[in-house]
Amino acid sequence: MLRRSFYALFLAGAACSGGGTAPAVTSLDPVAVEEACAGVEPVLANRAPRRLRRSTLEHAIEDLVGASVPASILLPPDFATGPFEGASEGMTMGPAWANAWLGVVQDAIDATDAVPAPLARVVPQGSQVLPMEMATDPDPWVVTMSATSTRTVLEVTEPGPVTLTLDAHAIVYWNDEGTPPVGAPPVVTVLVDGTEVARFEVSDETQDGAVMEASTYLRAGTRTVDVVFLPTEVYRIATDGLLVTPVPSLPAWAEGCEDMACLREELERLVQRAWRAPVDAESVDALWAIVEEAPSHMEGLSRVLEIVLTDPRFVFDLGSGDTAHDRAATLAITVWDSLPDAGLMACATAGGLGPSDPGPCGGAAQLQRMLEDPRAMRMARQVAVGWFDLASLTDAFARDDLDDALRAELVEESAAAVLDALRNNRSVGELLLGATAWVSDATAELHDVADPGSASPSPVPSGDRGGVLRSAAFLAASGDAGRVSFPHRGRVVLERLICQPTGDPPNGLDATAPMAGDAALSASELRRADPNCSGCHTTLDPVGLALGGFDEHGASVDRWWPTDATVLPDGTRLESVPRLMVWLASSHRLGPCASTWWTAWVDGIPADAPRSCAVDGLLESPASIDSGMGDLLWAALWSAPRLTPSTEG
Amino acid sequence: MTWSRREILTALTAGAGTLAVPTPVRAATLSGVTARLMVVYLPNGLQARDVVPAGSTLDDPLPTGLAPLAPWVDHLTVVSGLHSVTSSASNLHAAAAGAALTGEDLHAGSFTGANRGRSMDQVAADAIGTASPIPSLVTCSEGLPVCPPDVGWTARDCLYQNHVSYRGLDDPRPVETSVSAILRQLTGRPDGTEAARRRIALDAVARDAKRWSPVLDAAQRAVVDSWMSHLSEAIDATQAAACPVSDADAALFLEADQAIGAHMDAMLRLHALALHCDATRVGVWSPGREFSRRVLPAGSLGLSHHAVSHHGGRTEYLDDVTEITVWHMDRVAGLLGALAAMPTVAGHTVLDETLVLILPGFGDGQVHAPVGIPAVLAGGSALGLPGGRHLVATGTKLASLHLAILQMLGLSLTRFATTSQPLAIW
Repeated sequence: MLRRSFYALFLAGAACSGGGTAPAVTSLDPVAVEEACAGVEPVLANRAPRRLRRSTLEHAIEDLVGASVPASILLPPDFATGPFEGASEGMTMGPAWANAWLGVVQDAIDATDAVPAPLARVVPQGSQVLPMEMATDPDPWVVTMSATSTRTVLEVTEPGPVTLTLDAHAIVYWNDEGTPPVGAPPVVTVLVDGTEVARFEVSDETQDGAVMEASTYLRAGTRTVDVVFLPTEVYRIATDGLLVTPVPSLPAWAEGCEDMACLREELERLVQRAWRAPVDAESVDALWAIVEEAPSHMEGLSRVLEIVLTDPRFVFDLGSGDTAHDRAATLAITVWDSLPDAGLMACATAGGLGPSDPGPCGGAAQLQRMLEDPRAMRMARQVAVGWFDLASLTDAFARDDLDDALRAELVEESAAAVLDALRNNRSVGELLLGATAWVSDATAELHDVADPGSASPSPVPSGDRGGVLRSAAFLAASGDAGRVSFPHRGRVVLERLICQPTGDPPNGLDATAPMAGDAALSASELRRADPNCSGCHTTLDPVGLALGGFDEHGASVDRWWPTDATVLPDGTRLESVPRLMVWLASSHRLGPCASTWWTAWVDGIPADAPRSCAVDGLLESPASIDSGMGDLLWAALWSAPRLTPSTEG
Repeated sequence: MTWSRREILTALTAGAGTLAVPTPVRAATLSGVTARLMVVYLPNGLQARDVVPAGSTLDDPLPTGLAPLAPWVDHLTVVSGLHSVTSSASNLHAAAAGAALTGEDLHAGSFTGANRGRSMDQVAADAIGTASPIPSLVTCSEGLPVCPPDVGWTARDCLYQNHVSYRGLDDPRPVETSVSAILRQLTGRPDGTEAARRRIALDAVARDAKRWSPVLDAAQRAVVDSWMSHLSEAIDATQAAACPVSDADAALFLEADQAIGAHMDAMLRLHALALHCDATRVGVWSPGREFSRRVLPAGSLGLSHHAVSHHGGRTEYLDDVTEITVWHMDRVAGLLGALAAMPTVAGHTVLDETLVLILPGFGDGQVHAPVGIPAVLAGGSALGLPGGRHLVATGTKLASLHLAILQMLGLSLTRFATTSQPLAIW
C-alpha cells in the first residue's frame, strides 16, 4: 500500500496550509514503487459516458465537413474537474447548452461549402441548352423583324435553383442610307410556365458576345420554358441558346460524386465516422430517404447533417470500450481531439487497434501515424497549456504586456516541444530539463539564442535555455505584466512539474499577487519568518527565486539573491537554475508527474492510485525522469479501462 | 462500473418524471401585471457596512456600496441580519452558494424543506416562468467554473460552489456564461421555421434512438434520455423567443468579451432584454464565481475579490472590498436603469413588475459564515413592494425572505425550505 499512499500524497493531499509544515519532496525508489504497485488492482470498470470536449466538437466538425465553426467559443464552458475538459463529471449539459449546440450545428451547415458537381449525371435533367432559332430571310441583308421565340419542355425531376446563362450579342443592321441605327437594344426574356423569370438586354458593343446570368427556381414536374426575342427594327441577336444549369448543389464533403450511388456511399461514410461506429442499413435508409424527399440534394444533405450532428452518438462518447471502433474513437479523441479518419475506421472495421496487434493496424503503428499527423498538434497544444500553466498566454486579456502574436508563438513553441518529444519518445527529463530550446525568430532574443531562421518553432541547442523549465513560455506564463511573483513561479514549478500540491494562502491572500525586485525579496523574508506563511513559503520562495534570473517575459536579467533566500528547509541550496534542475531531477517526481498529466488528458480527470498503477503496469519500469514521453502517452491510453481489448477481438 | 450519485439519481428518475416537488399554484395576475424575478448573486460575501444603512430608511447618506443605486432609492429595500443554513462542509463557499437560494444544506445529501432542494428562482420558474419560452435564464460573468484541483475539494464542493440555482439534489441549472449563446437563444427566429425544422430533425434522431438505444446500459441511457429532453426544451424555447435587438445593443454584445465589466454589462443587458420581451420571467446572474482568483478592475491592492474578502480587519483590504461592492453595484445600476426604461403593456416599467433580489451567500467575508447576510430588494412596486426602507431582520432565515418574495410574485406557497414564516417585506 506504499504506492497508494504515495499517489495520495502525489495527487491531492498534503497541501501545505497556513501554519502547516511544508511537505518534503519525497524521494522514492522506483523499485519500491513498482513493488508497492503490484498490490493495487487497476480499475477495470468502464468510465461513465461523457460528452465530447468543446474543442473536440469543433475539430470534429472541421474534419467531418470542412466547416470552421468556433464551437469552443460558442459553447458554454464545462465544469472543470481537472486541468482539462473531458471528464463526465464536469460536462455541462442542459437546455441552454443544447440550444447553443443547435446553433453550432446550424453554423456548421451554413459554413459547409457548396461545390459545383457534375450534375449531368447526378441530376437527371442536367444542364440544358435551349436552342434559339432566329427567323431570318434567306438573304442575310433582308431580316424579318418579327417576334421570335422558342419553347422547350423540361421534365424537372430534381427541383431547385438554376442559373440561366445567355451568351449572346446583337447584330446591327444599318439602313440603306448608312445612318446609325436607332431604337432600344434587343431584349431576350425567359418565361417558365408563362411567367417571366429573367430578362436580358443584349449588348451590341462586342462581336464576341456577352455572358449574362440570372437565377430562378425550377419546381419539380413538367415545365415549359419560353425564350422570347422582342424584335426591334435594326437588330437581331446571335446566340447558341440559353443554358440552364442547376446551381452548385453538393456539400464539399461529397465533392466528386457523379451519381446517386456515390452520394449514398459518401453519406454512409460520413455517418459512420461521425458516430464512430458501424451504422446499420435501417439508419442509413432513413437518412437517405430525407435526401430523396428534400427539394434539393443540398437541402436534403443539410438536413441529414443536422440530424447526424444532433444525434447523441455524435455529441457523446457512449462507447463501452469493448470494440475496435471504441478504441478508434478514443485514439482520435485523445490524439487528434477529433474524429477517427478513414484509416482508423478501416482498422477498426478490420478489428485491429489493439495494443499488441501487429502490423499497420496495430495500436502502436496507428498511434505513431497519428502523432506524425499535424492534427496531433491540437493535443500537444492543449496539454502544454494545461500542464505548464500557460493559460495566461492564451487569454487575450490577461497579458496586455505581450502582443497576441508573441503569446501565440510562445504557446506554439511549448506545444512543438511536447509533440516532438512524443514523436521521438524523448524522455521526460529531456523535455523538461534538456538542452534543446524550441524557438522561432520572434522569440530567439527572449531565449538568448540566435535566430533559427524560421518563423515557426524550431529546435535549437542551448545549454542555458533548453527544456520547458527554462523556456520563455513557461517563465512568461508564471509572470505578470511588469512583475514576477516568485512564490507563484515556485508554485507553478512544484505543482506542474513534480505535482507537489502547495495549497492556498491563509486568510485568502492571493498567491498570484506579483511583486518585483527588492520588494519581492523583502516580502519573501517576511513570509518565511511569519509562522502563518512559512509552512509553504520556505519551499515556494526558494524555488521561485531560483528562477529569479528571468523576467516576466522569460528573458534573462541580471538579478541575484542572497544565498539564504534560496535554501530549502532541508538545507538544499537552490541558488542557481542548474541546482534547481538537479533538485527537481532527484525528486523522482518528474516522471510520475508527467504520467499523471497524460492520464488527465486521456481521462479528463487526474489519475487515482489504481489508475496510475495501471499506467505503470504497461511501462517497462515505473514512470521516471527517463520514461519516454511517447511511452507515457501509450501507457495512459492503453491502460484506460475502456481501451482494454475484449476477448471478442 | 462506477457511478456517481448524480448519475444514479439521473438514471432513477429517467422516464419516471421529475422529482415530486409540489407544484405551486399560480395566483391570479394582478391587473395585467406580469410578475418577474431577477436574482443577482454576489460571490465572496457582502460586508454589511457597505450596504446596510444606520437607520430604518434610506435617507442620505446612502451606504457607500449602494451609492450607484441612488436613482432608485425609492424602489430599494435593504434587509439586514439574515442568516442562512450552516453546513458541515469544509468548503464554506460551496455551502453558502448552495444554500443561498435553496435554503438547504446541500452537502447533507438529503432535504428537509418543502422545496426539496429546488432553489427559489426555480420554484418561481415553475410557476411564472412556464408562460415564457425560457422558464429561467441562469448566467454568470465568469467563464470556467472555479474548482482548483489542488485544494482537496470534493466533486460536490465544486458543484455547489459554482451554482446557486437548482432543480433538486445535485441537479443545478446549467449556468450560461456565453453572451453569444444567450443572444442566439433570445433572438430565435420569430417565424418558427428554424424551430420546426429542428423539431423534424429531433424527431428523426428520437425515432432512430428508439431502435438502437435499448442495448445501452443504464448510465448511457440516462445520458441519451437527458440529451433528448434538453434538445426538446431548447427547441421549444427557440421557437417562441424572438427579442428585437437594437444596433446599440448589438454593439454592446459584440464587445462583451473585451473586458470583465463589458461582459457583465452585456449579460445584464441580455437579462433586461429577455425580461422585457417576455423571453423569460426569471433570471439569475452572478458577476463571478465563489473563490475566484480573478482580479477585478476595482480596488487598489490588485488582489482578487476573494483575497480581499479575507480582510483581517485591515483598512486597505476593507476599502478594496467596498470598492468592489461599488463596482458590482455599478453593474446592477445598469440593469435597473435598463429595466426602468422599458415600458410594459400594463403601463408600468419592467422594473416596476420585476422583483430584483441582490444577495450574497454570506455576510462578512472574513469569517465566511452564513450569518449577518444583507440583501437588497429593488423594483417590484407594481407587485406591492415598497421602497426606501431598511428592514432589520436579525436572526431571520434567508428562506423567510424567499418565501415572502415568492408570495409577492403571486405563488400561493405556505412553506419554503424549512420555514413557513414569510418575512414581512410588503
